Amino acid sequence: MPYKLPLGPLHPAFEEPYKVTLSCKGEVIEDCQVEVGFVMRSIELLTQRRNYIRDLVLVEHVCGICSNVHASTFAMAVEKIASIEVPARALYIRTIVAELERLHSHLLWAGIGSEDIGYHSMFMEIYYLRERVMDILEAISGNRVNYGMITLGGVTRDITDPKSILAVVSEVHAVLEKVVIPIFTKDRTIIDRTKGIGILTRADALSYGTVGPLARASGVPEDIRENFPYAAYAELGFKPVMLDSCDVAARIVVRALEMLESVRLIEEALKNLPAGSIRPSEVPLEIPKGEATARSEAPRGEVFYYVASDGSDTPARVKIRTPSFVNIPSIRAMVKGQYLADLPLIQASIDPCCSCTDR
Amino acid sequence: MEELINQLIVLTKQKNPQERIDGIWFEAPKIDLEALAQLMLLNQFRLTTMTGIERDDGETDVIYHFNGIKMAINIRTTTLQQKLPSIANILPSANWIEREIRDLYAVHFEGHPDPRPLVRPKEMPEGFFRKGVVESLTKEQEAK
Repeated sequence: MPYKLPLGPLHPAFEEPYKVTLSCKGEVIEDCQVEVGFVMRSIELLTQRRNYIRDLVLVEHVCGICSNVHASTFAMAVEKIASIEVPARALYIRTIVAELERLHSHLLWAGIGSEDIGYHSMFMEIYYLRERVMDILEAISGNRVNYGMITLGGVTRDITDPKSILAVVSEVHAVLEKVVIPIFTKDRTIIDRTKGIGILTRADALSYGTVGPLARASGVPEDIRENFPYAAYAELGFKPVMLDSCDVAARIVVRALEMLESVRLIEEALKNLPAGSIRPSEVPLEIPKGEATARSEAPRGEVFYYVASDGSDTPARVKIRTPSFVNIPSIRAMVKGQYLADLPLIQASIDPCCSCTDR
Repeated sequence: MEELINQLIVLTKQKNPQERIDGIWFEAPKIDLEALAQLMLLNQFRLTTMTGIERDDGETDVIYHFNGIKMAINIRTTTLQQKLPSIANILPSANWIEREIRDLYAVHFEGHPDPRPLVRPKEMPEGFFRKGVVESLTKEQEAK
């Protein structure tokens, strides 16, 4: 007789509130039901009551980890409606901040993942590295979480000292290559705990519409930086990372290798930073009538914005689709037939973000 | 890809879809949504999301945003008496999206396999993003 086991909304295994109701037979999970909506803040409705500049601040608070990507995607949609041209230097700075954000988010995840595996010394090592990335972000923007770097038509702050940033980035690069990647790809503790568990087949990944590292670990070539290039990705050249073993181990390795690519992009962008202004001298406060969509690759996958303007200084409609909204339902496909004890690690492997999902 | 566009032109009965900077846009007030879902699934397009937009006449516009490799397609349709057929049985990715639009804009997707509220708290009425509902909720709050 299968029994029901509710986990959450508040549970030590979860970083944020959501609920998984498991139906188990002995130690094996037969099915599960996922519920979200515990931290809904109606941000979409609130954006329709503020002007575009104040909205940039608001949408940055959708997520506490990938905050910059929300502001930049919102700005991209508005720039498309109003045909605002972004200077090349601003596009490069946006790319650098986006990649630094990816680096710190993937390191955060790698730390949490290591802790779920039970590898505490690895957790310490990774969180030290993450602090170094946060230091760079603080040096550039003055903030550690909500950077406030994005404005309509450009960025708010310039990068004045690329050399000091390059020095820290190469330090991060060295630790990634010497410590993080060898341990994630060769260490027995990690491999034994992650190989072959939480399988998400390619067909399931497609039908659930999963995005980001989760889809790329299941052999789906889904990367907005390559498919719909924005900011400076087309100029910098970009190599997507893809694996097809579909398990938790693949998701760890995809994220680890992506960090190397992020480091390369940051170094390349800093070395080739174009001269010029960082934003247009004047940006209209009232946006002409129209609608547009914008997509970006956040650390967890595709962020999608739809913005409609009625010609005033306040948007008529803002729709936000975050990557976790499509990734979280796929937990159901991953846990069937798995051991109960593996659930914390399987759900962590998609890097769920509930504040994003609920908005 | 041209074949897909031609099939969509037949399906949406719109001869000249708009080509914009962010993809191809179709306007189709009446469309066979199930056939659309099957067609997109066959062409390996992913349902990015659906956007609900309140109309002044009490109905709701719903935009279906699809994307494939290097190509985005947006199809705008309108509800009839706040109802649309569900595509969640064909595309599992539509499941949560349709539940959310029902919570926020009170659009009923007929034939949805699991029509429970997704983000709506128990004390909130259905469609709590609609102007009328927001106003009455604000008045209630102020009276307290």
